[in-house]
Parts: sequence; C-alpha cells; structure tokens
Amino acid sequence: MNAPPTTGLLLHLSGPLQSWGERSRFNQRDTATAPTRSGLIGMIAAAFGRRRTEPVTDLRALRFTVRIDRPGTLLRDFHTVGGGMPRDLTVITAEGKRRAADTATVTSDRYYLQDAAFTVAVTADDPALLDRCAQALRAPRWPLYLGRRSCPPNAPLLLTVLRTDPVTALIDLPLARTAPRDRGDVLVEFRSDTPFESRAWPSAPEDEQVYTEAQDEPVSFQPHHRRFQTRPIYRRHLRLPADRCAGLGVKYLSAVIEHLQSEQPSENTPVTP
Amino acid sequence: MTTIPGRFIEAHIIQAIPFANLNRDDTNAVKTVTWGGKERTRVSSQCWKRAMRLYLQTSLGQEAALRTRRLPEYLARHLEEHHGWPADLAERAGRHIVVASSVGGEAPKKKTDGEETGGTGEHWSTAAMVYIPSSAVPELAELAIQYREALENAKEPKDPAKFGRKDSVIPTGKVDEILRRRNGVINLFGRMLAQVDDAEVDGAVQVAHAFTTHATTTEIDYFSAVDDVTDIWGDTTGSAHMGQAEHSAGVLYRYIVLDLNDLHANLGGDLEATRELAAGLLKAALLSLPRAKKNSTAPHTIPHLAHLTVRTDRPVSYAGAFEKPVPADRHGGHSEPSVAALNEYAAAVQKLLGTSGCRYAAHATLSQEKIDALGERVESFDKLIEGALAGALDGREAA
Repeated sequence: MNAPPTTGLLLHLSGPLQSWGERSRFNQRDTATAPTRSGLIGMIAAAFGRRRTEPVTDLRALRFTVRIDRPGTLLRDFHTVGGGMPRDLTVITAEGKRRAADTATVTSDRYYLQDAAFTVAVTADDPALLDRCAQALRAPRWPLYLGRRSCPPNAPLLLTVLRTDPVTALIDLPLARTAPRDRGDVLVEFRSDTPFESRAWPSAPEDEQVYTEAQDEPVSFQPHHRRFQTRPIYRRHLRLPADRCAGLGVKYLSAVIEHLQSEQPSENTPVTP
Repeated sequence: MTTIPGRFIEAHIIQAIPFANLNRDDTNAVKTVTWGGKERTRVSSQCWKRAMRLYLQTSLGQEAALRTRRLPEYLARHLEEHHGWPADLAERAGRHIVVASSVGGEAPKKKTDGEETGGTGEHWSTAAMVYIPSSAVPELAELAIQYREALENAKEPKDPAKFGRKDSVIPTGKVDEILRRRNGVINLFGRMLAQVDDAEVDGAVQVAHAFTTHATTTEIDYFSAVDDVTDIWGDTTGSAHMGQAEHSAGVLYRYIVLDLNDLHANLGGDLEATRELAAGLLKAALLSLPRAKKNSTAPHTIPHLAHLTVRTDRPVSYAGAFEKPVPADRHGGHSEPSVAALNEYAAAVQKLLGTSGCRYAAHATLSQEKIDALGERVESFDKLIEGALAGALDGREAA
C-alpha cells in the first residue's frame, strides 16, 4: 500500500531565547518578532550540512506559515568584546571622533526574543523535497539553533511529517501556552509568506488579512556577500478554543504526543531499540 | 577519515549557585531571562565559554591561546628577553611582521589625531584582534631571526602611518602561515580571522545560556565600608563608603553540545587527539565556573547532577523541563525537584522521539531521587566522561 505523499512538516520553535536577526549591523544585533525566512532556510541548510558558500536556491521553494503560540518579549543582552575592530568600525564618540585602539573595547547590544514559542508549517509543491528536509532535521549535520548559536531549540524541533492538509494540522495542534482563566477562547496570530488562500482557512473578512514586507528572502549566505530580497508577509488572527492551550513543558509535550498519535498512528509509533 | 559513530555528546547539568553574580550587564545587574512567564537568573553562553576556555588552559594544561592586538609589543619583548635583541631592532621586527601579515598593522596613535585620548598608544598593534596559539610567538621570533640582516638594513619610514606591506622586509605568506596555526582551544571554540585566508575555524562546541530552573528575584545587597581610623578614634559617626550590589541565588540548568564530527575534522582526523580534547572539554564543562565577584561570594559549587548522552542523530535540549518553573520541595530546596523535572521531561522526549538515536546515556549525581530516564548511574564525573567517550568513539553500544 502506498502512503499518501508528504504535504508538510510541523516544527516547534521554542526555547528560553531565540533571535531572528533582520537588520543587524555591527554592534546592534536585532531580532524580528517571529522567525524570518532567511533564518528558517538557514537552519534547514545547516541541517543538510550546507556551507554558507553553497547555494540555497532549491530551499527557496519552501513556504512557511508561522503560528505564534507565545509572542515572547524583547530581551537586551549587553555584550563586550575586548576591542579588536578595525578603527573605522569602532563606535563614534559624541564629538564625531574615533576612540584610540586601546580604549576601543566594543560593546554590543544583542536583542533576543525571550519566552516565545512558534509552530511552523513547512510546505512545498514537491513532496520529495519535504521528505529530504524531514530527514535532515531528524539527523542534522550540525547542531541546530534558533537564529543564534547560543539558542538551541527546545526538544523536539520536528514534531511530525504531514500527509493531510497542513493548514488544518497547524490550526488543530495543541498550543504551547497556558489557557486563560477568564475566557473560552484565545486570539492567535498567523504569519505566512503566501496568501491565506487555502480552503482550510476559516473564512474571514478580507480586511483581516494584513500585508507587510520583510527583507529576508535569502539569495546567498556567502560571507561578505550576503544578499536578501524583499518578500511579503501576510498576517491574520484566529480565535481558537481555550482548551487547545496545552500548558508548558512536559504537559505540552504529552498533549502533543497524544494529539499526534490519535491523528496519525502510523507516523508516530514510538521507536524502541 | 573514519566516521565517528556517536556524532554529538551532550551535557545536561543541574547546579546550585549560592548568593553570587557570575555574569552581569553594563549596570552591574544580574542577567536574567523570562521563561514560562517567570523571571530567571541567566549566565550567558559567552561568559561560561570563557570560563571553560580558561579551565582548559590552566587546569588541563592545554596550550594557551592568545587573543590580542598587542602582538608587535609581545613579539618585541620576546626577542629582547629570549634572543638578546636590542630594543629598537626588536620593535622594528614586530612592526615589520604585523605590517606584512594579512591582518595588517596599525601605527601608534598621535594624541592630536582627532581622537579620544586614553591608554599609552605608543606601540604598534595589529589592525584587528588575532587569536593564535601562544607557540606562534616563538615561531614568529624565529622568522625575525631569519630576516635579521634585512631588518637591520631596513630604512625607518618617514611617516609611520604610511608604512605598508610593500615596505616590510618579511614576506606575507610566511607570517600568515604562522597566524593560521591552531591549537586545542581554537579547534574546540573556533576562530574568526577573516583577513587571513583559510584561517577561520568553525567551533565544535555549542553552549546554551544557563538559566535557573525556577523563578528568581534579584537581591539588592546594601553595604557600607567602615573607616578604621574613625572606628579607633570614635570621634565621628558614619561609614566611609556605602553602596549596593545585585546578586541572586538559584539552581541552574546548563546545556552543552560537542559536535564530535567537527572536532575530528578540525583535528585533521586524529582520533586520539579528538578523544583527549573531548575529555578535556567535558571536564571543563562540568567543573569550570565564571569568575565574576568570586572573591566576594566564593560560589565554588559542583554540579548536583551531570547527565551525559551520546547521540547518533540530533542534539536534544531539555530546557523545556523547566519551562514551567520548578517549585521548591517541602524542605525548601530546588535541586532535587529540578532533577525530578529533568527525569520526567527526558522520559516524555524518549516517548516522542524514540531512543534509537541515543547511543549512550548515564549520570553522576549527589541526588537521592529515583532516576530512571537518564541512563545508568555512575559513581564519578571521570567515569561518566570515560563512558561517554567509549560510547562515542569505540563502537560500544549503550548499556
């Protein structure tokens, strides 16, 4: 019996810290409020063991829809480096002058998202590409991280491989957050690099889809020649039942395991040695 | 090059830190992170990596690596002290060598040069930070000795600022070759040296920010300093100085991954060197401690629990075990409930991912808890490290 083709992957991106740089230059290292396309494609490229000089053209066929389970908050981290930048890159003083080499210890502000959790549906027209991505994420060539190397993902990163409608799967998966005490539903934001056109999306008035842009479509990760293009971001919100909030830590994990086993028993039978 | 069967070694560490401030920010405040909606004390990955690097160098006899811009001065002093060179010739050698290198040299700063003053600024420096094994210095000195005659005959530049590579009597290739040298520390932690081709090394160690398993509040410690003369004479009241300092206490979760494939490749496929450096790194991961405020707080604890795994597929952080803050047990401590939470979470992860990717798992601990999801219990940190390396490198299957 042939299994139906792969339609998508579900990823759980969470950890105490994540950082999805968008406009970082020198000593101001920013983060976007949700995973960027360049960050996600870079992470998958690292799973494949691609070096920064190798092309990522094929991975640009991947589409990402992000469900913001917990938006998190911004954290500023003060960081020092014991000098060592070429003089024309050191901090300019109030008088518009440069510091001497021996006082040029560089401090940087690194911004992180703390306490955020995202569920990401990875889709593509090519099931074989998705299968290769799933395999790479199960056994990545390099340890993966959420935007910055000091931010390892919380276990497990790859939740499941989908053979059903990815939009429904994304909406139905338990939320990595605690339920509100005072109401029966929660407002959850979704962001996508493609319009919410699938029939699986609950209908919503046209004006609920917000459209913005980001400069995070990776053309090349080559050091000194990194290039990005502009791409659209579509946003919309859905009200989801509060009982979909699975809680934190081991409670969330157990709820996800139970949910996935009831949905797709064949994919998630635990492997025992 | 042989393939390493156990690709990743992970260390999961539960460690209590008493009233201390191991890592502070620009206002001397304790670093924090919110996780699961509650504020935790945090020690940044950079901070602990430096502690690990120093531990490797001092306690384990790994050759030191120098991270410096003062290479010309350092080299000149070496030539004077070890080879009896006159000071001005030694200084000239240092300058010719850095100017010849791809990193480039920077002339001493004139204080009128539209700059903030500060420091002496009397010496040449490298144009960017270099990161080299300390053995590179005697090697550069040998290079200077080979070119001593040319250095003695070299003309002094009219304008030091314009003294460039073409004016150096030493070939760029020979200097760069020495700057490309590596040592254990560089092979583990990596190096960015963009100016010299093929000198960059990707690090093999990934360190997560450490954070407390439970909610913490920062303590503001008010202090005053007594003036001893005032105290003896008793002629006036009050203290000579007062201030406040931030500290916090708590139980940390620390997570470190060593990519054995990368380390093995960085070492050119030398299996014995891989084993030795991996053992040193794991020991440093378990036993090193950042040094901030160490004299005023003496926070010299050891891990309450260290859990090592060897995985063939992917690393798995257990930070999620503490997403919901661990409550204190009925006696008030957080160490034992943290061990229980780690154990419970590891069991849930094994249920979801299966255990086929895990080749070795064991723990060493002071805990009295019943621990069944963290592999076998071994009696010492040394045995734990030995077992993990055997599991990773010797094809021995998990017990």
